[in-house]
Amino acid sequence: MMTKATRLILACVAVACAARAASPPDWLSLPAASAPRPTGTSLWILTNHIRAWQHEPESVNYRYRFAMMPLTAAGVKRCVFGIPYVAGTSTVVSAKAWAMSPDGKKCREFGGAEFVVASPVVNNFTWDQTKNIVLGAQKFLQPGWIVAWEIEIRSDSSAFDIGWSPRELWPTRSAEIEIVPPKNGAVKWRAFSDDVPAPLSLGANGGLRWAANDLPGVGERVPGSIERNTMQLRAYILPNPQGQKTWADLVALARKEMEPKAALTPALADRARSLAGTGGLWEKILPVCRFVQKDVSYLQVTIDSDSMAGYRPHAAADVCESRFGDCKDKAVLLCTMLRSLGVESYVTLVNYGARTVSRPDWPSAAFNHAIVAIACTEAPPEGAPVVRSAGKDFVLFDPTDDYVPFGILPERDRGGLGLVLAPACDAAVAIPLPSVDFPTIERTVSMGMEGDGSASVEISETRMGLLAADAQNSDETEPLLDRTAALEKRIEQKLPLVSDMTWKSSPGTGGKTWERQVSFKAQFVGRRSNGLMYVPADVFSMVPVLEPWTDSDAGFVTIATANAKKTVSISVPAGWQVESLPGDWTLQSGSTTSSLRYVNAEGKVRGEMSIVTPGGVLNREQYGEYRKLLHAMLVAEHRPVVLRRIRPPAAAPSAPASLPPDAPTAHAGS
Amino acid sequence: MRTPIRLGIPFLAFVLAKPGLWAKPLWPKVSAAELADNAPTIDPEAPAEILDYRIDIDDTEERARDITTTTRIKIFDPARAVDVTRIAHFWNGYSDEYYDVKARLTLPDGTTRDFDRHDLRERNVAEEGKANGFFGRLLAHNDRSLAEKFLAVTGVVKGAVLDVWEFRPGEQKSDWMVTTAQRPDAPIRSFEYTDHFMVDSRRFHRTFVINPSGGHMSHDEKAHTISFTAQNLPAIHREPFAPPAGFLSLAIVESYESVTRYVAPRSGKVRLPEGVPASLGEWAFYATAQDYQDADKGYADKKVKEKAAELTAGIADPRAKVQRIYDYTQELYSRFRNRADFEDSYTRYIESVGELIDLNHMDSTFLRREDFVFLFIGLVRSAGVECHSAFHPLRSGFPFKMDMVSPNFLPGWSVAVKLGDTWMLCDPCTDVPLGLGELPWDMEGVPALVALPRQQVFLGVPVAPAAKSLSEATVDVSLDDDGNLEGTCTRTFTGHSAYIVREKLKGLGEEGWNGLAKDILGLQASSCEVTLTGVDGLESPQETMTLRAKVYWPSYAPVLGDRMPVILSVWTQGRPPILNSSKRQTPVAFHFPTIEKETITLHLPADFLPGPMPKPISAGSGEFAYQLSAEDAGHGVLKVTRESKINAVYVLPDKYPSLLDWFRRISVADQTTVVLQRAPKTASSP
Repeated sequence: MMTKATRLILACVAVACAARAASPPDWLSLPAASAPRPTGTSLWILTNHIRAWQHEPESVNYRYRFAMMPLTAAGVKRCVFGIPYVAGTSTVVSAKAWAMSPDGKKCREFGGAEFVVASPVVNNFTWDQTKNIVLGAQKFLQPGWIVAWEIEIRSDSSAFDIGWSPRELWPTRSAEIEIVPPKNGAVKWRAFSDDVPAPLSLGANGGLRWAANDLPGVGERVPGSIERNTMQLRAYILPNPQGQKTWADLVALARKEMEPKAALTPALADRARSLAGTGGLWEKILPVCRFVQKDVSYLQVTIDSDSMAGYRPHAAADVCESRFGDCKDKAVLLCTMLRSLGVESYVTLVNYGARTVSRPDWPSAAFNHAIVAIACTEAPPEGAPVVRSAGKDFVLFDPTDDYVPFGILPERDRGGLGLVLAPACDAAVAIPLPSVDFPTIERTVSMGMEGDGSASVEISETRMGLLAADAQNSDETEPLLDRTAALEKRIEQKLPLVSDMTWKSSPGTGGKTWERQVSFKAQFVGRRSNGLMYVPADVFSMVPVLEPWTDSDAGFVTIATANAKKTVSISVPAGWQVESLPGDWTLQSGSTTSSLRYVNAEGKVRGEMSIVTPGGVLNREQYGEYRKLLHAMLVAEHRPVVLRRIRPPAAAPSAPASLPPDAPTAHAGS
Repeated sequence: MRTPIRLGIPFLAFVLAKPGLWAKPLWPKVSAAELADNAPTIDPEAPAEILDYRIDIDDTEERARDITTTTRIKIFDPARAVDVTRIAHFWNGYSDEYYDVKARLTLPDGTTRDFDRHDLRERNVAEEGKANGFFGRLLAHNDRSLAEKFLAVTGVVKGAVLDVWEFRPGEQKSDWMVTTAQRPDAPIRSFEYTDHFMVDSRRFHRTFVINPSGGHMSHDEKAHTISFTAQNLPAIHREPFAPPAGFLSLAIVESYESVTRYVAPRSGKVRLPEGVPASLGEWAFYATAQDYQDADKGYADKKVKEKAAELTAGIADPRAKVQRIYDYTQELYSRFRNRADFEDSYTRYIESVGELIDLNHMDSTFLRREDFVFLFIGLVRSAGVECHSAFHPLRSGFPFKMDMVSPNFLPGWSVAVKLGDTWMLCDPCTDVPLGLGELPWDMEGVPALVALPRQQVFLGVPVAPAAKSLSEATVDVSLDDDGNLEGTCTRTFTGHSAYIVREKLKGLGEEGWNGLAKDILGLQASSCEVTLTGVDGLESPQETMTLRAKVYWPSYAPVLGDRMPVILSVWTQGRPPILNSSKRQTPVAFHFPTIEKETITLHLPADFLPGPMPKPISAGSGEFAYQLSAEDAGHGVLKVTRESKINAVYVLPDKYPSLLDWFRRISVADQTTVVLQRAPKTASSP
């Protein structure tokens, strides 16, 4: 069947394939066939080595050597490896990869041309400067085979930290980082986790190596809100051993980039003047803040490609004109407009959603978001987030978030460190959580009980502050059908037979409160047994159920500040009386207090519950304690009110034929 | 000066090729009658109605199509119409660069307000979890998300009319493109669909209308245009366990079927079939063409015959022979799916399925799933057992109608093996392995076309009975003085239930299984904490799929002084009822019949005694059956057994009340409670 031409072509292909045959890289030690493989994982990382060295001033080279073995078909699917780098400030020096059989006898090498360089599109309004150099190796592998990569990148962004965390999602046989300073230079480092081993000296050049072997995988990410510490080791290279980064240096560095862009133009001044409100300071600036928040759309465009490009905003006048800008553009625009009105204000750097990245005793430029600090020449609005920096009080406002109103900071801006870029600022400040003195939610649940255990339930609630802003945002962005389904699901988890549900929600005045009313009928709310009816009071509970911390890695979870109150009102049906009420209950643990109290008056049982917690950033142990506390609250709230039947009901219960009629009592005395 | 010109020409050409990029939406004038209209006409409860919905598709290009839609919506109740006025569009960040949307709101007083791209807002609908570490983030394809853009139309009032214009250029084309008309949010008074189709002699172009709802199709061959109009289309109701949208909505399918797909010979040993007259049945053509492929591509050369003889040596029973060949093909296919492939490019297709037998020594060869199906056919035929390809509609897709003749309506592919007088359908080449005689659930309950020459034979494919898809939990838990439950659970799955569990687990790395265990064990809605301790039977359909776990359920039972009410049906607590709404518009569609069984051994706290035990409860029989029983086994142990059976896949709305009643009876029975009482303290010994 095969023609001569076909044979010739196939022979050429075979020669070409043979030319591609290769040997495994010499830095990779293949695991012995008899060596035990880790279990309960789809992948095994054999090598995870990084070497960083200063090639020339302002330039650091990074070499990544990485090898892994998929242990199952699911692991093969995950065999993609890549390195992100910032286009312009970094360049790829070399990229190689190898795919091989377990014994290395069948091996194929890949050159840089076979890698893909891709820019992730975050959305239509954001083009990320980061590129990834990636090689997907799934096609070349099967379970038990090995893939290895070696990529070298030169970065001109030496101002930023080198971060390292030895553990990965999957078990790792060998993890290592080497940092080598230039001649007469030094490596400054700090470990922020016990997982980081002690460094070894690389000799007279001052280089250091951290190495760890046979590390377990960190496993699944539970609880879901965990922020893993991906920079357990932080380091930077200095040209001389006496050098040191300070917060004041960073303030000066950032101001140098930002302040020239805050130039006031007549048009900008006119715009600010026309927007300004009347009254005190806060009334005056509120319309300006709203303008920058609502009328300037988020768009990140970074054209410069030097190492400080990420800190350099567009000119405020241009942003006002185009109505597009990213966080620093919006922050600089707002500062410029406020200053034109005589209001002192500064861009403030924070870590959005990464509260533990910045540490007070480790000055670092690792911020990812810009907001605005407005000097308090008058008493700040009640409950507003205030920080003290450079001897002054400032109210913080985030003009990038388009739904959290002035006076409240978005959840993910809080709890970490911030750096107010005021001239005299020499220290980072803690971005405060909201005060626990302000109520966050008030909920009333009224249950009109019937003798057959069914009930008409009405719930009304008012949310305040950030919770109100979140709920209002949800109303504006999520489909009504989805919101209704979510509400139904929440109710039906406690009460299985719900009907005739109606609900509505509306914003309160000033956007700082949000209200919702829900009503429905439910069967089998009270569970009858032996002439008693057990009526649960934990319908629409305020106590969250926290997941156990099964993640084996270090990390943090942020708990929101709460000052919540719930009132449950249960009307006792005719023919029944209160047999017993759950006892009063209070609990105080750390700064969290909770209480529950029931009273019986005029045919109604009234229960009042409150939870007050300042919230904060919790590590594993603190999270465990907090979870225990919530569990105790759940147990307390879970105790039902017990009613006793005092005479038979006048008419047959209106329950459906399906309802087992007080099943256990049918056997009373048996 | 040369560079700008070089750049400019392609740009200009691109713009000229995309009329929508500069086209302005036309806003037809809103009539006084439309503004004065004050009540819905199709559904009196509808918060809005679509007065006019037009879809215009430019299909004249080979690879991409441009879709323009215009919608005129009348608002009757703005508060409930927010989903109608929320013009949403899903995207994944890469495909909608040129997506454009504009809207005009005409208020009852005639004033208008315009909206455009600048009013688009966005939210993430789904986001992948974040992995740990620098490498973990890269390796886990982290931070991918599905986003939804929507035009936030504000200021909508009762009586307003909203016009929306959307343009989606460059949508990817395939040989099978479906456009659905009806929407969940509003009925449609007038619908008009226009497709400017492509003329290509290499393809059959046909347009099908599914659920035509009394509409009318017209065809202009000269203008290469197909149109379809319909009136008074009700809204689709979003209900749990509703059939797929293809069963509910008017849908128009543009099918471009390659003319040459059936007659490319491989072996050279099989004669091409002759013409098939339509009198044999319109499907007979496809059955004949596939029969030719079975014979040609599944041609048994010497290697195949030898392999078949080797596999079936000493076996007389045809089914046993088929079983051996099935297991062999399944293993070979699995090896193919998982093998490392070092090829840069493929230089050839296989010339005979016999080559697959030496799979480990093949290189430069392009292989497909169908090659392994044809190998199976060749082996089975060589073993002296008749078999043919069979094609199935999917219950997860569109309703099947005999007169809608296109193989695209039969996307499922299995093999029909004749054992005696009966046909057995099977598929040895699935990603999640199936046992011999099993099919995916969505290929059951629908007819299958058998590839017999010059015949139109459809086999009835029964739905596997509930007992075949059993999910059984054996639970051994202890209750402590504080009402916490702790113990173990072993859950086994068979049939379709096992298939689904295998599919879920195989899609994840082992490191993610624990996170899935709660869901698979049926405890997803509870506050129970689950730690997976073992998984068996993942790879082999011959083994029972089994999950073992430790469970801890904090505060399961409340403690009230000396009493502790305990709900006996432990495994269902916190699980919302499957069906609850008293109204039902659409049929209830279950994927497959199932039985769920739980056997619970409940160890009571040492100083508590159980109160009176409930009588066994049963509800329903036949298609829907439920039983719960509990007994005091003594020594502080309660034994609870619960079984629920759903032995149907489709329940029409008129039968819904009895189904709902059954579910409600179950929900009530699942709340059956035994009150534990603290035992009186006995006097201590002197």
